[in-house]
Order: sequence, then C-alpha cells, then structure tokens
Amino acid sequence: MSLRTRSLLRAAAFMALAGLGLGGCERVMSALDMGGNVGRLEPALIGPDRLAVTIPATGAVALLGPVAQNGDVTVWQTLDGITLSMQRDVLIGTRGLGEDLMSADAEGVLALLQAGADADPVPHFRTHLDGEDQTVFRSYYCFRDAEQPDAGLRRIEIRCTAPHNTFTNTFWLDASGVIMLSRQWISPTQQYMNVRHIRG
Amino acid sequence: MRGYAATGFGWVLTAAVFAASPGLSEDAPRIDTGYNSYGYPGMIDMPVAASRPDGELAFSVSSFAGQTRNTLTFQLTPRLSGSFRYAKLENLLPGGTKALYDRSFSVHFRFADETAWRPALAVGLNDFLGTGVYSSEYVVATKTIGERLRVTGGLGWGRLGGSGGFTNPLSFISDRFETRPERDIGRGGDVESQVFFRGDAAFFGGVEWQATDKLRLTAEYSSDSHPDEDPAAFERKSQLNFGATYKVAPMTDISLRYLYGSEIGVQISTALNPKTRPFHGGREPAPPPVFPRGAPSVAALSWTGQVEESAAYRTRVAEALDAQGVRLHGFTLAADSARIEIENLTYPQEAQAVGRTARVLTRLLPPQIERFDIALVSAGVPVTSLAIRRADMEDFEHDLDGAWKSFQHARVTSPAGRSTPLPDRYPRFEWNLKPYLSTSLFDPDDPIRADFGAEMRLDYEVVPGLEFTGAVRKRIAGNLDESTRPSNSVLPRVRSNFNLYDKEGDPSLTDLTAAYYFKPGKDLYGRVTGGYLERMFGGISGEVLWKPVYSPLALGVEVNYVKQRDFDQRFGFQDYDVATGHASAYLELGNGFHAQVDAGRYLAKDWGATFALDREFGNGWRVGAFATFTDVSFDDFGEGSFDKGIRITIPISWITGEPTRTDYTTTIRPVQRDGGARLDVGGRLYERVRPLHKPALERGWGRFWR
Repeated sequence: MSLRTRSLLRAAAFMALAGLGLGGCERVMSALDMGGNVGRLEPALIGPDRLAVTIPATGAVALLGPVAQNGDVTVWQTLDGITLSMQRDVLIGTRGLGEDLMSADAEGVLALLQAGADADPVPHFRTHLDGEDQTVFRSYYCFRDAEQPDAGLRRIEIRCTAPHNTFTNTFWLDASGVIMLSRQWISPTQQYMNVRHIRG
Repeated sequence: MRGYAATGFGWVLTAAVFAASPGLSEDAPRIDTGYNSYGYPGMIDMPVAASRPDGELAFSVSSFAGQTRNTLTFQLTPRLSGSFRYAKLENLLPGGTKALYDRSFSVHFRFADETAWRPALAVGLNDFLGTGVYSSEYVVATKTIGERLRVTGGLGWGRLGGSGGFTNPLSFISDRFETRPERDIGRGGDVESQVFFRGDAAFFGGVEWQATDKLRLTAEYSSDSHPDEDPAAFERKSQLNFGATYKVAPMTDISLRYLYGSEIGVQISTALNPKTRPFHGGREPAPPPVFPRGAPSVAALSWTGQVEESAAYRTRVAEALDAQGVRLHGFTLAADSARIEIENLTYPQEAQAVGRTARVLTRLLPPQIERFDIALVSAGVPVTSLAIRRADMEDFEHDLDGAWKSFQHARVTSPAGRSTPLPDRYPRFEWNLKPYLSTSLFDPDDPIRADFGAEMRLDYEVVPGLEFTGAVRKRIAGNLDESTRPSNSVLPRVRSNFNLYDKEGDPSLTDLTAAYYFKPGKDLYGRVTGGYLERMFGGISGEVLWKPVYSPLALGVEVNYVKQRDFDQRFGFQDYDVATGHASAYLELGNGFHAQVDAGRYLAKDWGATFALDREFGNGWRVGAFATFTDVSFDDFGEGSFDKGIRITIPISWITGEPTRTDYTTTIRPVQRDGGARLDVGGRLYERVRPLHKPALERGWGRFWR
C-alpha cells in the first residue's frame, strides 16, 4: 500500500470515528465541489526547445515546453499543469508535483560546473513548505567531483550534503559547457528526475 | 516548433506522482510512548512521564471485564495533552446488569524533560469535571535505560491511591491532605479542586521494553483499586498487569493485556497529526508563470486609456482568474496602476489567491501598469487591500527568499469606502445540493445516533453586501427520531428539546435569512440578519466588529431578538421569545492559539460568559475547547453543571490535497442543556474577516508563489 493510500485511509478512518461519513472517492468529491476548482493552463510555448523528463520514483514521464523566460530562468510546462523552473538547466523550482521544491539558489552550482576539479565547495539553499504552509530552508554544502568523459560529453557529479540529507546531482556538459543531460534531486517523495534538453 | 502533441507531451503516469514514501525520521525515539487504557500517555492502566508528538490527535478504545473506554486525546502543546473519555462500565449498578455511562476529562502535563541523570517528570488529573468515577491524580517519573528499556515510577491519589495506599506524604504540609473528602457528585461538571492530591497515596510503577521496532512489552504494578468495578464487574487477584503492544500501521497500535491476575484486556489506538499533510503541498496544477515586461508576451499592447480597451482587459482578466478559481469582483485601470477586487472561491490560504491573481495580471495588463492594488472582497465588502509592485513579481518569482521578500514589499491596508463591482457581478443566484450528516452522541439508550440526508442551499446576492440565503433538508436515513428522553430541564427549554426538532423536522427549513454586510467605518464591519436564523430560533440579529487589518485583537458586539421556532421547522413560532446578545473579545495569542471571550445574555435569559481556546494549524485544522458559566445554578442547569465541549474543524483540502475552502466542523458536548446556550446565527463577522487580514496573510504567505 502506498503512503498516499495509507494516509487517506487513516484520515478516513479517523473521520469515520469522528462520526463523519465522507469517502475519498474522486467522483464524490467533484460532485461535492471539493476539487478540480483550478484549471490547468494550456501551455503557450515561447521557444522550440523541449525537456524530456522522467521521475523514476513515481514513474512519471513527460516532455515539457518553455512557457516563460525571466532573466536566465526558464519555466517549462507539461500539458497537465506541472512546471519546472530551470536556471541555465539547473533546477530551482517545481510546481504541481505535491511535495514541490519551492525555490533554490543555483549560482554556486553553476559556478562549480564551470570551475576545475579542485574547486572549493559552495553553499546551496533550498526551500519547501511544511504541513502548515511555513517555508522551511535547508542549507547544503556542495562539492564537485572529478570530471569523467562519458559518450562524448563531460560528466560532472555535484554532491550536496546536509546533516540529514545528501544528494548527488549529475550533469553531462558538451565541450562548450552547456548542460545536455542531468539527473537532479527534487524532494524526498519525488527523489531524482532525469532531464534531457532537446535543443530545437 | 516540433509537433510536441504527437510525441506524448504530458505526464503519462501522473497518478503515480504522489505515491512514494519518505523514510522515518531519524530523530524518532527508540521507545514508543503509547496510550494507556484511559487513553492518555501511559503503559497499561498507569501513566508515563512522556508525551506524544505535538499536535497529535488520537482515538483509542480499550476494553476489559465489561469496562469500555473511548478516548479522544489531543497533544495541545509539546508538554500538555487533554483527553475526553466516554466510558461504559457494565455490571456496576446494584442489582444487576445495568451499565453506567460516564464522560470524563483528563489532562497530562510533562513539566521536566529527561536528562542524563534525571528522569522526565509529569503530573496529571483525571476526571476533574465529571461525576468522579475515575477521579485521580498522579505525579510520575520515567527514565530511559539504554536504547530499548524504560522504567517508570510514580505516586497516585484518589483512584490511583487505592491499592497499597499509605498516609499522604503531603500531610506534612497540612493535615487536610490526610483525608480525601467525599465528592459532592451532584450534577457532575464541578471542578472538584478541593479533593485534588488528598487522601491516601500509593506507589505505582512499571517497565517497558521495546523488543522490536513494532513490538513493545510492558509490565506494571497498578495502584488502581477499581473501587466501583471490584468485585461487581471483576475480581482483582493481583496488582500486576502485563501487556504487549504491536504497531500495525505507523500511527495505529493494538494491545493485548493480562490484567489484575484475572482478566484479558484489548486496546486499539489510532492517531493522526494535522501537521502532516497526506498530499504535502497539495495537488493543484502549477500557477501561471509571471511574464516579465520585455519578454515575449501576449500582452505586448499598450494602454491608451480608452474605455473599450479597459473592458477588453477586464474580460480577459476575468476569464483568466476564473480558470484559477478566483472571481473578479471589480476592475479599474488607472495611468500606472490597476485596482482589482477579487473573491477567493478556492484556496484555503488567501495568500495563494493573491499570488495567482498577481501572476495573471503580469501576463495580461499593459506594460505601463506598475502597481497592482488587489482588494480582497467578502460578501461585497472590501476587507483588505494589497499593493504589489509589478517589478517585485518579476524580480522575486525565482528568488530563493521570494516568499518573504514579496510579503515585505507588499503594502497591506484596510481599504476605505465600498467595493466597485463589475456591471455583471450582481445580482447573482447560486444553488447547490449536498449531503449532510447530523449526529447525536451520548444518549445512554443509544450512544451514537445520526441522520443522513440531502441539503439544498440557495444563495441570492442582490447588490454588494445584501444576500438572501436559505436551506432545506430532507432526511434519507437515520435514527435521530428514536430518542425518547423528554427534557427534564427547569430552565426555558431553548436547546434541550432538540430531539423534538429531530423528530418533527423532516423535511425542515434549517434557515432562511436576509443579511446585509457593510463597513461602517475604518476597521469596522457590520452585519444585520433577519429571518429564520437557525433551526430553533428566528428573529433579527445585528453585529458590529472592530478589527484593524494588522491587529491580533478584535472586539465585537452582537444583539439579537429571537423567537423559538416550531418543532417542525417550517414557518411557525412558539411563544418563547428572548433578547440575547454578547460583547466579544478575540485575541490571537501566537503559535496558532486563539482565545475568545463572549459575555452577555444567553437564550435561556441567563447572564454569563463563554471562554474558548482553540489551536489552529497553518493548514486550517482547528482543535479547541470552550466552557460557559452563567448565573444559572449548577443544580438548575442539570447534568454536567455548566455548558462545555470540544470542537474540531477538518479542512477537506487536508484530506484530498485539492484546493477547496470546504471544511467539516463538529462540536462534541458531553451533554446539551439549556443554560449557557448561544444563538447559532450564520455569517458572524470575525471568522469572515480574520483570514483576510494581515496576520493570517503573513502565516499563509508561503503559498503566495504556489
């Protein structure tokens, strides 16, 4: 049984005990006006590039198109209303995934990718919302590991550590330093996503 | 551009997106603290000096020898928990098989934490309000030894000083501690503080061994003498109890026990924590991205101030907001700013409605609009205005600390004057049909009764602030009408005839009112409501509330003149009428705690005050308690002595993950009598206004960028 089902069962069991007889069925919920109030935006694409993304932990597979550009941050969107915000192909935010990455700073990681193998570690910050909608900051130190050639690309691992959490993001860069492929950490329930940037 | 539609654009397996599970917290204690048979933190029958995680709401059922205890326990703070218990004690009453039903409250307070050398220490009171069957007090110490063993010892009074008791050690302070006065049971409900920690005391203790992560074994020496149960219900042969507790799910335990050398006992405890959302941040689709000016945009037109152009912008903004679950109420374009009035129909946090609105505006309004003035409207009244710079939306959208920065830069004020609604906003007619569930608890003939049926609600908004609403209920199934207990109240029967309303009111007109909401001055809100105000009373109700937009304090006055409605809940009235009303003070204490005092005249013409304390979680869960003391004597009040209860609000969005403002509230009273009864008029101002004011906006601002 998944966590989601268990939690729902728990909530439902509690409510039954509390003398409430509402089930968790989607159809009942929409009939009761309890969900589906927010429409999914049709993606209005602003460029030819695409991101091919998989999230192994959840089995999600998608192709995303660019829908907004703000400075060097591009917002990429799926048809069903999930967005990823990438600063020069480094993930700094997700929306619509449930346990979203609310924000992150990418400057240090981007600098590491351009630096040599002996670069000093950089601080890295990420935020998410807790169960009471409060912003929680997590701070990491990120280390750059030695570069490996891999299928004609430069493969660089960046290991970020915090007291209770460690993740390793992997980037494949072309000769000019542009990120072509990556494997990047999202959040504990979503874990890693694999991204292939298809340049159009 | 590529043919993305043909290449499978979209999440193929979106349904699985939420399925993964996080690991257990690394900080979790190795030895689990369970709920004892009385439902508070403890071993088997005895307490421990430990607490459950802050905010946890637990329900436990234990049973042995015909003694069944159902307990709801809330960990109100990290150190303090409160319990409400409904017990059925069989074979107690002389001469036979009749059962005693008992309601009781407990509190458990851990006042010292465990250190390397000192045990944790806690103190507790049981059944300090009720008829006293479980009346007892304790002081308890618990020390962990190694990683899997925990030892507890304590001193009990009252029922917990009954077995192996000795002269109260507190008697060196005063001789009066030596004897525990017989409780004047009377009607119950009295706080019997004069008996606390008096009479003989006795030692109790026990050992808990966490054998595996899921299995815990417990042995205890009980000082509980079961004065009423032994020997009527069972025979005590020993004071030693043994138990095994198995964790069948992360928040659910089952226990099997061998009790007092003669009985087998079982217990199931299950809990949830409002702080932990099943769907994390929620399942709503991503918000529209901000369009910075200068970037390719659908709104690259410039605005020349033409009325027709304004109308075109208005239409597009209204459509885009509608897709986001926000209703556009008013729209005015000026040279460099736009004033937008919105009604949040969807989001539990107003901040999220504001954030999505501001995002939409960056996409649709012409580039010379530098500032968005977003007014939050409730019942046609503008409650709060937020001035947000468009440049801040562009600068902070992807900022690491964007939530806090955008809040700091937003100017939150109380708007002056009225709303300026769109021409097609009023009048508006809406109706909906929903199921309802109505329960009646603790009738000794049948402790749980319920009706289930359909409710149709109509809502007609004529002009800003003026609303006609009404609702009709038709029962489909249920047994509320089976109650045969006549009211024995000596007061005017303003509430205690509830079973007559249940019996005769099908179908029933639950309410039918005309209400006018207005803003008589800065920081002032007003309401006048007339008609069939609630199912038992109709008449006229007026209210004024003072609440500055930034303030944690609010003051209000409500005055009503009402007549009691007929039991059939159609259009007729009975003879009883009353002028009732209250002066109210509301205060946010911080950390989610809210206090409220209402002083005035109640429905039975009694004078007094209601005190309420609620803990509100950031996601909308509320758990609270209230008590009302009036000039009605405890004897005249009847069973329970005074009105009191607990109330719980569950936001539906917490359960489903979908953004919705619907919630379910239930109030549990040990007994419903006529003293201290307040009119139940809809549309009270404080809970309409407070979520739109600055303290609530600030707490929810994390969702601004969602």
